[in-house]
Amino acid sequence: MAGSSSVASTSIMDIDGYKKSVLAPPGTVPSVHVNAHPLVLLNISEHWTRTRAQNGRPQTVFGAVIGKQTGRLVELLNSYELVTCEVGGSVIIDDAYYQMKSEQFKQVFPDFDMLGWYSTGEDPTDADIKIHKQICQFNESPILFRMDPLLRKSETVPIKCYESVIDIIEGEAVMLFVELNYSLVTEDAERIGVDHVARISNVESSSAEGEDSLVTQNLTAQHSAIKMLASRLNILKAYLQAISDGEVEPNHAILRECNSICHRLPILNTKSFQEQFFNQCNDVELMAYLGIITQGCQVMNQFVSKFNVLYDRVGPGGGRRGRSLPFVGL
Amino acid sequence: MASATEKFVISICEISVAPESQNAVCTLIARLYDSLVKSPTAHLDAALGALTHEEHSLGILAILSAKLHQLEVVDAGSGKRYYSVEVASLDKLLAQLDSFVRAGNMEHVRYAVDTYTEMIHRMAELLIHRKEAIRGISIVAKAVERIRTSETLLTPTHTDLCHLCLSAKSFQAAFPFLDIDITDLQKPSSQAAYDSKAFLLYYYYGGMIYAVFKKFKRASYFFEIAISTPASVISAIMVQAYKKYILVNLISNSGEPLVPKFTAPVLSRGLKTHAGAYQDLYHSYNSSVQSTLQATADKHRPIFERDDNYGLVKQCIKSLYIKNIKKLTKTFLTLSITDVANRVHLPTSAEAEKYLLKMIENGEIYAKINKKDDMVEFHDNPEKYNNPAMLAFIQQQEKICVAVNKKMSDMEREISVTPDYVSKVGSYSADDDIAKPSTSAGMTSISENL
Repeated sequence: MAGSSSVASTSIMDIDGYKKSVLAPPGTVPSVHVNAHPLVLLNISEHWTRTRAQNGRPQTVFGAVIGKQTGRLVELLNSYELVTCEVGGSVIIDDAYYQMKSEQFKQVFPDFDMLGWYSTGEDPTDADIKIHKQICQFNESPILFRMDPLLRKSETVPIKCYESVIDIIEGEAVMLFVELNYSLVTEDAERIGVDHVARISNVESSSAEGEDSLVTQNLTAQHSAIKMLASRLNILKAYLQAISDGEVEPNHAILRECNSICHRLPILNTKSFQEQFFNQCNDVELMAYLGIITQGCQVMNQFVSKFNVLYDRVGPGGGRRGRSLPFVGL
Repeated sequence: MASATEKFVISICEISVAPESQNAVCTLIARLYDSLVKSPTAHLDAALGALTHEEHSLGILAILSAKLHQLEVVDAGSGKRYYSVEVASLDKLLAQLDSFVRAGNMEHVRYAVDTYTEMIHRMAELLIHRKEAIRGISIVAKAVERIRTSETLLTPTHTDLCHLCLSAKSFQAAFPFLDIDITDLQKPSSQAAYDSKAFLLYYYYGGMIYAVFKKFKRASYFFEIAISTPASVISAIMVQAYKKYILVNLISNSGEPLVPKFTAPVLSRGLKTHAGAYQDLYHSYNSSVQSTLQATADKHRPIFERDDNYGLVKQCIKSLYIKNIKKLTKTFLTLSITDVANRVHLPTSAEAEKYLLKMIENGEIYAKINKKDDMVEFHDNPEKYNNPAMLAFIQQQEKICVAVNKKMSDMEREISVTPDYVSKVGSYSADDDIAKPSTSAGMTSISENL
């Protein structure tokens, strides 16, 4: 997609061969390349975390992934959750719910197609193959987007992508997963959201309260600095006051120090400070002014509509045909 | 035998003894007023001496009104009213009126506010008729000050004040009243609505007074109110106000539209026929070509002169030079003064320099004239909006806005509790004793009256 830029590219080379029943042998060539957008990752991670918080224990979550496909390039742009139920140990996707949801997404994103599904957990198993076969009813060759939320030691994003192939093993047609190469991409608009999330989580990890924004932190620091300065200056003032009242013998060394400090203080009287201060002050006032005017417009609007209700038909002139309203709306 | 006035004084004194007797006094006066008008002036003066301002203000009001009424002569042939009065009795009457508006008990007078209004109006007419308008200004100003219940209340007496000021060509007394934005109209004591003529004239006269002092923005605002008052027929006052509205807007180069937005449809349709010459002038001014404007002004000169507006038209022509010079500042940084004169079609460069100097003085442009090379150098606006004065200005504007908002919320609430509104909206409120609206009804009464 134009305007997209690659953030991280991960190629998965080391494929474990021990779950031969599900994964295709290492030599199989994947047919498509996947570009995953951050919204999908955030959705899955949020879905899993929420379910865990609600149920009190980690649980595998399922959802559908939508996006666009151009040739051999698959863009995963968004996702939504799917309702599932367990019947006899195997997971069944709620078909009616999926149809409804997909209908709704079609209205908002008409050019997005259902491209696959996502779930959480480690490497795919036989159970996933069963779900995959259900998804195949909606899309001939769906992609499985797998996130492993418990993987801690990985250097890369704990995500794997699979597509399915039909292979003949011991004379039977068996569905196998082939791991796909994928890249994480972001658009400019998405990056804003991601940056925001990243920054908040950074702040959360660094501060104990976790609710302060960066601005608050910054201002709190300045505030405490100024408070400290003020309290120190008050000490100086009290000392000088005491000298002038004759309670303390003047110490010329200290007075000399006081003098030099005081010379450095009047920083706030400079012209450039005044200019900047009033710049900001006036800007804030203007914002308030705008708010007041907006409020006035709203009151005016209400007044006009009520006025028109009141004087619509019994107004002056006594009911001319097609009469105009006394006041025109804003 | 007791004369009519003696009877009147006795009954007034009798009734006034009781507290809260004002309504009874009003009824009595209404009954005896005609006999008072017919009584000889000497009797009336004697009666005045028997009444005190504190207790019998209504009686004094009736007698003074009757005295003024007596001076009125209706010409049998033309039906016109004029006044005939001797200098000595006029002096005495004015002194009596003056002491009444200063000392009279306005709490009582408010029960007969119509009589009060009419009395002041008669006096104003009388003085204007005698071309002695200046003698009435201080009395009328005091009369307005005493009768109004709040500063923002408009009374018909305001109109008389403006009229007197215009006739006397002495305006200072009017400004303290004009500068206050009106939010309420005085409720007449009878059932009649506020006199629409007085309302329109107040804004027409007010606009004229501001125009004299070249406060064109405020003048335009006053004329605009007169024009955009809801109406179902065209008033001559509105048409005259509209003519001046166009002229002051052209002079102040404010870019207001040809017809104010809220003009009643019947008026905006009629303006083309009634003020076509002025609309022509508006269009040729906006062509920005000096010769076109001059041609239009010459073409319609008889109309402008008949309307006594030619002086304003001449100011319009001058203001187009200013507008064109302002336009130059958007293109040029430096320009020779001869060039300025050529581009705005001024005859001489000395003339152009005069305009430039005046504009710099008025703060309309920011420029420097270099006398050595006869060049003018245009600057940007030096205002950086970062000073305390600007802060104070914004805060002041905010205060005004908040006040306006509050006023509007009040008016809105008043509508919400009108029985009419409640029944129209369909949700009947449980309270039956909903207060009658006062202000909004006052404002709309204008439209009902027109």
